[in-house]
Parts: sequence; C-alpha cells; structure tokens
Amino acid sequence: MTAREIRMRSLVPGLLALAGLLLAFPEAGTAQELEQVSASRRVDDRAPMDVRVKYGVGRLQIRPGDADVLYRMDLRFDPEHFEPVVEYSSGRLELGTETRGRNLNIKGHQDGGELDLELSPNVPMDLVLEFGAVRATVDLGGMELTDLEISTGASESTVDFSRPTRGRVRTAELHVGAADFLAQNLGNLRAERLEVGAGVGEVTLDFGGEWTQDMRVDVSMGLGALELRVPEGVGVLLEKDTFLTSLEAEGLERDGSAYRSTNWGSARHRLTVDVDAAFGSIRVVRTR
Amino acid sequence: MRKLLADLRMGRPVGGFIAGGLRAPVGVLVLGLLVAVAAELPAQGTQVPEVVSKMVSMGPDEARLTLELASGESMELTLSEGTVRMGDQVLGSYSPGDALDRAWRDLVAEVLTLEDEALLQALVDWTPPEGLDPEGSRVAERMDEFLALNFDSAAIQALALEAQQEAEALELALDGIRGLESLSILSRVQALSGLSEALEELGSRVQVVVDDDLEVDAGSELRTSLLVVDGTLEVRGTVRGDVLVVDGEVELQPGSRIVGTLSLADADLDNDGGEITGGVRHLDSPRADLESQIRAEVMRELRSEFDADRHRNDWGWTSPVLRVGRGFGRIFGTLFNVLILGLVGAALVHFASPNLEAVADVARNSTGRAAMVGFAGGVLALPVFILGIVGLAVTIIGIPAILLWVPLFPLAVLLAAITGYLAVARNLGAWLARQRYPYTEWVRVTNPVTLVFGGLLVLAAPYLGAHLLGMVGLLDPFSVLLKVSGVMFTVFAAAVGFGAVLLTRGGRKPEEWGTEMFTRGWRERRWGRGGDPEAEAFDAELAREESSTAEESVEADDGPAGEGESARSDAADDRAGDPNA
Repeated sequence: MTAREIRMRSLVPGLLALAGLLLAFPEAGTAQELEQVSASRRVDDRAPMDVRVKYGVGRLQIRPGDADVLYRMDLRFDPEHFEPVVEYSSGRLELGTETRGRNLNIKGHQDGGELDLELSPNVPMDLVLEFGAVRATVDLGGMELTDLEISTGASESTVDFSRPTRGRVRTAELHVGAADFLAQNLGNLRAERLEVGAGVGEVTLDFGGEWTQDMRVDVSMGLGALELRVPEGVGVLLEKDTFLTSLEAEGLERDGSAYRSTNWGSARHRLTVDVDAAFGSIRVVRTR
Repeated sequence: MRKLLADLRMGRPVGGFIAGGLRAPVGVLVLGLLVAVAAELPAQGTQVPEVVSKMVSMGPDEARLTLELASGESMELTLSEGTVRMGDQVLGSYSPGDALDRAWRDLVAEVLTLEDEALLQALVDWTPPEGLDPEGSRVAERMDEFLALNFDSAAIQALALEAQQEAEALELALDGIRGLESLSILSRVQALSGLSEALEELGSRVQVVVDDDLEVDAGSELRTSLLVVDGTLEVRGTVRGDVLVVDGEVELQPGSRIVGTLSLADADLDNDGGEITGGVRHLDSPRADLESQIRAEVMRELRSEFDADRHRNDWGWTSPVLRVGRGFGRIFGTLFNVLILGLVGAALVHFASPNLEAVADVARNSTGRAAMVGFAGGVLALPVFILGIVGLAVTIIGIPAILLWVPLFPLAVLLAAITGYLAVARNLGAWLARQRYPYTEWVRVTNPVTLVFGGLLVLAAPYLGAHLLGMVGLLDPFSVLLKVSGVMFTVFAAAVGFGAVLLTRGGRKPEEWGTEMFTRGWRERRWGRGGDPEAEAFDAELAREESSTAEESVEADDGPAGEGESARSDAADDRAGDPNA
C-alpha cells in the first residue's frame, strides 16, 4: 500500500464522519430510549478467526476477557438509529452496530450508546476495528493477533497493548481519520512493521513495552501533529518526506536526510520511522 | 414444571418443542420409517443441552433470549410488543408490563450473568407468575413447557424413557409383519405421508390383517377400524370404523356398510351396492393429486390474471371518460408546470434581464457548442461536487467551507439549469413570434415575458400532444412517440441552456472566446450584415407597435373633442327644453 493510498484511506472515515455531521439535523430534546443487547459465546476451538468490530457512535471499550469465552458483549444503543450486529459463522465473527438510514445526530448520541466488548485472548484473531465518532478505549494486551487493522473516524481513541501480544502479527495498520489517537505500548505489539495513516488530528505513538524485535513504522499524515515516544534504550532512525512540517527530534542527530539516535549502532532493538507528511509537526520524545 | 412432569408420568401427550414428535399412534406400527425415527429419539433426548452462545436483547418493547446449543440448534423466546414468540411460532399474547412480562425480564436479566449449569438451572427453575389472566396463564405454561422440554434434564430423561417404551412396543408389533416382502408400498416415500395420515386416523382400536383375507358376514357388525395389507376385505355386514387397505382389494356386497372412511393404497374397490359413509380416499397416487392440485392452482392464477387483465382492458376500452379525464388532468399538470416556470422566467426578466439575454444570445448563436458544454457540465457536476468536498476537507480552512459547498453547489447547478432552460424558452418564443401562427399574437418580441411563456409552451407542446393522443386508446403508440421526443427535446434544451449559462458565467460575462466564430461573425456570415431574423423581427414589431401607438394617439386626440361637442350640444338641447333654464 502506497503512502498516498494510506493517506486517502485515512481520510475516508473522516469524510464519512463529516458527511454524517452534514446530514445531521438537530434532535434537541428528544429522549433516547436505549435498548440493551448482551451476547456471549464460548470458544469452540482455537482455530484462527476473522473478527470485525464496527461501531458508529458512542463509547467503546474493548479488552481481553476470559480465555474460554470467545466474546462477551454488552451493547446499549438507540434502536431508532442503530441495529445491533452479532454474527458468527465458522471462522468469522462480526460484532457492533449498523446505522439505520442516513440521518444521524452524532453529537446527541455520543454520550448515549455504549459498547463493552471482551475478546478471548486464546483465539488467534485477524482483528479489524472500525469506529466512527466514538470515544474508544481499546486494550489488546495479551491477545493473540495474526493481523490487526484499526480505522477510526472522528474519534478520541486510545489503543493500548498493555501486555505483549502473542504470536506474530503479520500486518498491523492504523488508519486515523479526524481524530485524537493514542497508541500505547507499541513495543508490546509483535509486529515487524506498522503502517499508520492519519488524516487530520493529533496522533501519538508510544513505543513503550517489552521489545523483542526491531520494528519499522511507516507514517503517512495529511495534516496534524505526530508525536513519537520512544524508550531511550531503543535506537531510532527517522526518515521523512515532508512539506511545511516542523520537526522537533529530541536526542536525534541529522544524518543526511535522516535523523538518527546516538545509540543507533549499539541499541539492542531499533525503530525505523518513515514519515510522509504535509502541513504539520513531528515531535520525537525519548521516554525512560 | 411439576405439572409437566406429572403429564409425562401419566403418559399424557405434552404439547411443545419435542413432544409433538413423540406421539405414537397405532398406525405408526406399520411404518418402519417412523419406527426408526422414534427409536432414535431416546438416544438424542438423553443429552442435556449445552449452551454455546447466548444473546439477550432488552428494550422498552422487547425482551428476547436466544440460545445456541452445541448441537447447532438455536432457540429463541421473545416477548415483543404484546406477542410471545417461540422462534417464528406465536405462542400467545401478553400485556406489556404485566406480571408475565416482568417475570420474563427478570429471568432474562438473570441469564445474562450465568453460565453453563447455573444458566440451565435458572431456565428450568423459572415458573409462571401468579395472578395472570387465563390467556396469560396458558402462554406462561407453554413457555414453561418450552424451557423444561429443552433444558430440564429430568423432563428430558422422562421423555426419553417414554420414547424408549414406545419404540419397544413398536418393535414387537413389527415382528408380525417383518417378513412381508410384498409390502413394497412401504418403501414408496410418496405414499408414506398419506399413509401415515390415514393410519393416524384409524384411531387406537384397530384390527390388522396382513397377507390374509377378511370377511364381515351379513348381519354382523365389526366395531373397530381395519388395516388390511396384501389381502381382500369382503364386507356383507357393517364395519363401524375407518378402513385402510394396502395392496389389496375391497368388495362391498349389496347392503353392506362402512361407517367411516375407506382409504385405498395401491388397492382396488369393487362396490356392488355397499355404502361408505365417510367416502373413499385413494392414497396410492399422491403425485397425481399433487399434480392436479398444482394444475388447479396454475389455472386459478391464470384465470385471475386473465380476469385482472380483462378488467384493466375493460376500463381502457369501455371507459373513455376515465381516459379523457386522466388526459385532461395531465394536460393541466403540464400547463401548471409551464405557468410555474413562466413565473420564474418573468422574475428573471424583471430582475436579471441582461443575464438572461446574454445566456439566450449564446444559446441561440452557439447552440452546438453550448449543448456540448451543457452535456459535459451535467456529467461532470457530480465528480466536481465530490472533488470539491475532498479538496476542502484536506485543509483546515476548507472544512467550514464544506458546510456551504454541500448545499450551495447543487443549488447553483439547479439555478443554472433553470436559467438556461428559460433562456432557450425565450429564444423559442422569439421564433414563435416570427412565425405569426394563429392565436400567437400575444407572443411579442418586444415583451420578453411573453417570449418565455411562448417558448415554454413550444417545449411543452410534445407532452400536450401526447396527453391529447393518450385520450384515444388506439393512438397510444403515437402518444409514446411524442413523449419520447418531448423528453429528448427537453434534455437538449436543458443542455444547451446549461451550457450557455456556463459559457457566460451565469450571463455575467458575454462569451468572449470564439465570439467572432460563433456569435456575431457567424451570425453575419449566415444572415448577412444586419440580417439577424430576431433583430429584424424586433425592429418590425417595434415599428408596428410605434405606428399603432401613433394611430391610437391620433384617435385619442380626435375622440374626446367630438364627444365634447356632442356633450355640449346635448347640454344646449337640454337647456333649450328645460323651462327652468
């Protein structure tokens, strides 16, 4: 996937969220009668699963749950505008909500709906998370991930890898629309390569955690601020292709067109970051 | 739940999810297929269900519990908007908020927190609430049965035991007929369904005769149903019960009676004057029955279609009033559209006459180019709209502008299309004025509003013609042709107008590029210097109006003077005749 494709894909959720806002009409004063759906399923076997979570508006929490429960979901939603999705077939699981119709007052629903989801850490998952306008708190620590794709729209999202993931993550992609996005403990993500596409907003990538391998991160940003928090023990090489983008790189020395940390040669693990950005800022912070 | 278990112990049939398949009428004795099914049930039934997935949906109008079992079965019990459903089957009704609703919601909420045995126990322990009306009680009992029959291991064991006993009884009964190779009918699946129904109807008292003949003597009365397989039944007396004969023959002698139904499966009937009160049913050709049913169904469908079609045609031919009325309605509709557009045109003439004239000028003198630009503009409008949004979205300054772009761009395109269309109408109006057709004198080159109205009528003429022709049923094809040509005419006019608006930037900027080629120069080459027909018509009209105005002025000067004289003479006469004067 090229940088331009990544950037365009990152823009799409933002544009969708924006279009939703444009289509919105005020519904001030209308009380929402929320419905609740709770669902759970036991683990049949440990065969890899394609898991897709799609959630439009509200608060979202995802975390690892019991090992022998594939998923446990508690969903509160406005039945006028959303319908729950709980679909399971062999090797495939879809959870979350679908939007009914087009008219949606996002602001009015942001505090209403809620999705609380637990996923089994014992089942290998190709995990796709798609958020619209949500406040998301996602903890994927300890999960067994084969592939990971997270797309956010106009959201405030925190994705944490609080514990090392299990197994090798083949592809990891983060697509951020118009959002504040914080990814924590990326050092716990067992991926050799991470692709980050961001449209508009603030993106913070924290590379804390237990490093076991080198990592390459390709960042493509449309407009906004990118902050990279890298532990001091990890060697950093920053390559950038930017336009009107400021760079504040703490502890990095210029080496031709790239910026390199002083411990690059001696570091046990190395992080290579390739940034393609326009109109924004890049900040590299070394953490302890 | 206790009642249910008591029912099972007493051997009473239990309605519900599983029990329906466990009824064992005597007739099933004969059907090996059903035996096999019944014999299989205990093995399945003894398994206590294992819930692998649960889903609870709770809303103001609904409380639903869906469970998926390890066997792959899915069970759903729903109280929704006053109706209780078990899967798709309606069990009955309830009043939202009543005791049943509350008790069910309590159970569903409890189920949320439970797993495995605790979950099953909660379902089994659920009992219908007190104080329900009769309908509520009935529904609650059925819900209870449903839960018990599917999740109560004791009930399931009892059912399994009952099924086991029945299977053993069936096996014993089958021993007597197992050796019958001539019972080929039993392998005919088509006949099985009919046979099993017939067997069930025989009731609990049945005499079975296999590979043998049976005679009912004159004056004797047999008070039982009969099943005769591969044999002959000869009746001289009376049989009080249903009779089923499989692969055999029935002979009814004069004065004989069968007080019941005679069912024949691959069997013959020789009736020499006997009476069959319940009628004769042939079970050996279910396919023929099915075919005849399908045939009858198809015939009925065809007939109803034909009738409906004839009904429609009847309206078309026999009710010209309806057609004429509809035609007039459409004509008025078209004229109303002309009026609305004309009023918009009048407003344009009043407030933006130079713009309209500039657009009309380009539409008239660069028609082909305007059409091409108009078509291209129409095709590109949507991509431009989307690209505009994307373009604005990538910049901070642009994002607020999207709020304006989204509503205003389509509005601007619509306005441009209407303005262009009216400009073309204005040109057509000028053309109409030059033709001097009868009844078009009101369309004057010197009055742009009449030009617009005249042009709109020209544009609407194909539609009006189509509606007129549509009033006559025979001329429908011509009506359609006119409509199609009207649509093409309209599309072309709209494209030319839209293109002209784009070329002149909304009439604000008379076309510059190619002016010599496409407008003035082209016009002069075509018509000669000063030979523009519209200009000539305008000049001629103006001259006519000026001359008529001058004549009216002369008449006006003469008129009042004469009248004055007359009035004065009248006054003089009055005064002469008036003695007081």
